[in-house]
Amino acid sequence: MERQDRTLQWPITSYKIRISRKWVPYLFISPFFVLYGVFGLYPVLYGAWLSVHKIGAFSAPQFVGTQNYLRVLSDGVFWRSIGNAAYFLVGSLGVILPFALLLALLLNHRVVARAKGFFTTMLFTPYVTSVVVIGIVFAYLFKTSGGVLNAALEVFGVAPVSWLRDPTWAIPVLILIALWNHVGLNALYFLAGLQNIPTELYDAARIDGASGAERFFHITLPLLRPISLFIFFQAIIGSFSVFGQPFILTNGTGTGTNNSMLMPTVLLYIEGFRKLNFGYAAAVGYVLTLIMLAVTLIQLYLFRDRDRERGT
Amino acid sequence: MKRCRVLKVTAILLGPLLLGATLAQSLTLWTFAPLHATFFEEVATQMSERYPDAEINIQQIPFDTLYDRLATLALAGGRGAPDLVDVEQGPFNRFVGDEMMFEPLDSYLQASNHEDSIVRGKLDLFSWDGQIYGLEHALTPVFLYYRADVFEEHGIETPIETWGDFYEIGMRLQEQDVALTYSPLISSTRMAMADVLLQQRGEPTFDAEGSPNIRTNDYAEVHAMLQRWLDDGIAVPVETTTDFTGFLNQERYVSFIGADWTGGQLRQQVPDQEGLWRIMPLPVFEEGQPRTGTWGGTGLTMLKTSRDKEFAWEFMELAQLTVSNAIRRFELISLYPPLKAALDEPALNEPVSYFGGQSVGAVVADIADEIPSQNPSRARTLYAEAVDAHFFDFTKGDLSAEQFRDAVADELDRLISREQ
Repeated sequence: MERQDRTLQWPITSYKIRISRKWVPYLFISPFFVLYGVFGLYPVLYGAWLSVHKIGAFSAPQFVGTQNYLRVLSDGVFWRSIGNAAYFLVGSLGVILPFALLLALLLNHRVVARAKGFFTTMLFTPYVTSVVVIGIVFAYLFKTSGGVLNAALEVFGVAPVSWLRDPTWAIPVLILIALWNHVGLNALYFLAGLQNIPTELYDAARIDGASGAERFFHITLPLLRPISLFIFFQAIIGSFSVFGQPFILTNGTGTGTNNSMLMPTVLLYIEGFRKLNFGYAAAVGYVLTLIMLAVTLIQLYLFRDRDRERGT
Repeated sequence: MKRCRVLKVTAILLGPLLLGATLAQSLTLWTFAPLHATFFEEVATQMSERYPDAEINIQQIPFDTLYDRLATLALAGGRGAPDLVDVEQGPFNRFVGDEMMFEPLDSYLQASNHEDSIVRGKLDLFSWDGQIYGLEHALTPVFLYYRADVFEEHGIETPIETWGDFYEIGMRLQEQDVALTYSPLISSTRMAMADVLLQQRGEPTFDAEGSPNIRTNDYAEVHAMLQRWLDDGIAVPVETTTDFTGFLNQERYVSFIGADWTGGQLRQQVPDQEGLWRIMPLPVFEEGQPRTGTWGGTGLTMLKTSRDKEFAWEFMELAQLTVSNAIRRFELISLYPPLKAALDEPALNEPVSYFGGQSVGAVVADIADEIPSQNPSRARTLYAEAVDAHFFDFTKGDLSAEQFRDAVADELDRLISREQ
């Protein structure tokens, strides 16, 4: 009788129910895997295949083994781009992070906190501004003749500087643009970190007679370590993948004088799309990924070690 | 039985559609220039009159994006590729090599008796390894554009015969705070300008085989001259691509070296200066040299993967090899046609109101026989890199013109060997 009722409710066999119940969850999660497979995994695997082949326009692929990788490792231009990205990274960390932390501390102060909404909007706006717009505006600011910056310096008797053409200034200019572009977002990250620090810690330190500097160095900075780690990773990824600004600032060459603005991703683009060296470009991508992976692992290891020392 | 009936009905309904899809001609064309797109739309309308069922799709794609897409298609073996593509001569050099993605046009030109229809120099620009891959839009002769009102005001006689005279006029104008011309600090524009002057001296940057021809005295002297214009103040520096038109608007210089297509840019960018500009043949270094050069150029190419090559060729022939469309393009874009049969057409010699009623055609006819060829070379992209490496030091004065020449030549040799 019971069996008959079930048949009435479900006009399919229990075997089919078992099958469908087994597959339904997979069906639900499949969109992610399908999209990831097509747009994530496939390009990664195809890139790996490309990196061990020599391919020109419409020509049959030719297996070259590790030749492309060996060429990347011995290519001065590639290492120049890595050097530029490392310089940009160090500069970004050294300039943007202190500024961002300072801004976050100001925003966290009770006087400024009243207008926090206004300030956070102001700080976030550069981050959502189009890279192209930023590039064009800063290209005007940094022009040698008629540029705003040189006009301002002229007031103090400073001779015009070729900001965008002089290799000495290429990366500092990029750092300055990155400062304007990213300081707000990083300040907001720090602000989120600051707001997670329990106020009781500061109260207790104050009662114990800790000065403001002592409270900052012994409470604020150590407790900001997790968010700092996150910002560091973001900075590494951002520095090695910067693309739009050098392109616009160099009138579309992407390289600057004597490759002074050449970034690894720009090199990858130039090799792949301008010179049609697809295999070599893919190898550049893989070597770059491995370098970034190594840097990230080192950093993770260092942070983990310190956390262990502190017993956290 | 039921399934069989469904199949029959589907076949009856979809049959004509599928048949139509197979038989109707279709063609997709990519171009980067808005005015070229307008011109091709008109040609598409003419084709539609011949083939009412044909589907012709003209797509305008931004310059860099078009070549990025073309590169991607090259990698993908041409799947989803258009039939015809407008290729600018610079990027064309990227795509030349052992395996060409373009269809050779020699047999089509031969079959339609058009082997000698286009000026040879302009066919050379889109040739590789003895085969022709593109049909040029323009003759791209280079003129000296000048502000007739300013020249008249300062009593400057035209045409200016030599570059020496040009320099002296520049120095005279400079005393009255007028810059005669501009000199680019964008390395790619500077080398294109230098290339024109080197063509005049019979020593182009790349020889007929596409090999670099840099270690010459001419190369150093031409670059020294362009730099002297800047250093001595007869030229204003142009640092960005927007400076060119920006400075025109501000009237910061009163003459410049430019190809015929620059005339179209002038009309678009500074329409309010209509009637003030004129053109003249280029001054020369020495008597007997060509009073012009060639700068830039865009060719219509057919991809190897085109689904209907005959139909695509018919479109190409109509657009690039008929006198009526050569005239129409001249009217629309101010491009003087490279089609020999059109050169004597009265319509091309009409007065142009933007140039104060001057006949551009008459100036072109005067210098037509002197227009040199521009040789394609796979190494042009690398040459740009080589120049870029030392251009700043040269313009700053840290390198002499001779040192700059040697540094560029050495760098180019290094880059070529790196590619191999």
